[in-house]
Amino acid sequence: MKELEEIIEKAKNSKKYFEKLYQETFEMAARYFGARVRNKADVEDLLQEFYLKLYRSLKNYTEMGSFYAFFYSTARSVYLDFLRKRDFEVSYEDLSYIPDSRNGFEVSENKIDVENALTKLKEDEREIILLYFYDGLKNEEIAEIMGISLENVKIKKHRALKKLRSILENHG
Amino acid sequence: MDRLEKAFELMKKGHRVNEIAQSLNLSPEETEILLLSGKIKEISVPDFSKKDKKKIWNEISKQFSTRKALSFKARLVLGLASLLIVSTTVIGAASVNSLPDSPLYNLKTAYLKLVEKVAYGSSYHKKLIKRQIMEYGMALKSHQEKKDYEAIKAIKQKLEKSKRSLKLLEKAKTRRGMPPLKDNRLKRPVNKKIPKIHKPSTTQTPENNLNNRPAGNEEKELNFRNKKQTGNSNNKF
Repeated sequence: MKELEEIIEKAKNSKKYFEKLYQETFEMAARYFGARVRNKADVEDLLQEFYLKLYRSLKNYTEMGSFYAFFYSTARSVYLDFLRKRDFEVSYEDLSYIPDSRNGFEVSENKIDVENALTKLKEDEREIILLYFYDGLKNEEIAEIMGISLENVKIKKHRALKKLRSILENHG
Repeated sequence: MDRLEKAFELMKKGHRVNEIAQSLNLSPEETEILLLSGKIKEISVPDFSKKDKKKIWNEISKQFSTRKALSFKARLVLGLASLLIVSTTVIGAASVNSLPDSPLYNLKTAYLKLVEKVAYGSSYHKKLIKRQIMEYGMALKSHQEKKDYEAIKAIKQKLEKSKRSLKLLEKAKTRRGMPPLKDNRLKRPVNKKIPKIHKPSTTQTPENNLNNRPAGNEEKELNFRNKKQTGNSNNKF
């Protein structure tokens, strides 16, 4: 983590170190956008947009806050802009068409059920679930990213999981 | 809820679901939820090769040079300059057609004065004055209809001033390289002294004999004669 902090500090003023930061964080960003936007071309565009935004806003990041909260907040704002540009007409359901191996996805029946069930959740519920279980963030970090209280994060997470379970039971 | 939270944390650390369920004594429902949360971690995402990663980086680095973020100072200067241009345009557009009796006219006068200073002596300056004369004429007509004598007097003075400025500009055109003539008429002191009546001399001398006057001074002669006639009835010629 110390090494990452050093790279972050130097990346504020150096493109060369920003490229190093890009190499270190690419998997995280690709997973974040890949889990929410199922089209690879869209994910590439979002990654470009995200890193440009990160480069511009990195100067505002201080070591007092969690880098992951900062990183994912920036990613979330890029994702929400992407949704807004599409005027929210395209729902998560449309974005997350059933993946197949032609699109670089590994296919498994169980995974398809869970992915489909996720499309039925509200946007904030889905986001909390993905941030916690898929991206591996802590409740405190999620609260900071979503701008809600810690208690609210836990309550929404539990509600969303119960909903997911009932959706899978009904369609399973 | 707290038990489930503990279960989630243990699962994130890599513990198996069965072990967690046993150690925390989870209910069947809670165990199912824990199993479900484990599946979320396994959802598939697009795969990016090293080549894809490099390609994306190349696109990003290209945009660094084109999309350079402006510093706060630069943004402030740009913002103020834009505001100045926009407000000048808006004020100009709003007041350009206002007549002298309109409330926007003072704004227009200030704007036109600024333009005059910038465009002094140019053909645009003449256009401005001609337009001013036209507007004063229109305002004069409307005040004459309303019989607002004070306004008529004020507008007439302004109209005369504009006409004189136009004449000076037109004269200055012929005097290239020299500044336009100043109109000091209004600045001349008013002569309040009553002039003395000139008493013509009773004797005729070669100087005052009209017949000896040189050709080309007929107008002056007429004036002189008229003065003489009104001044003295003993004029012999």
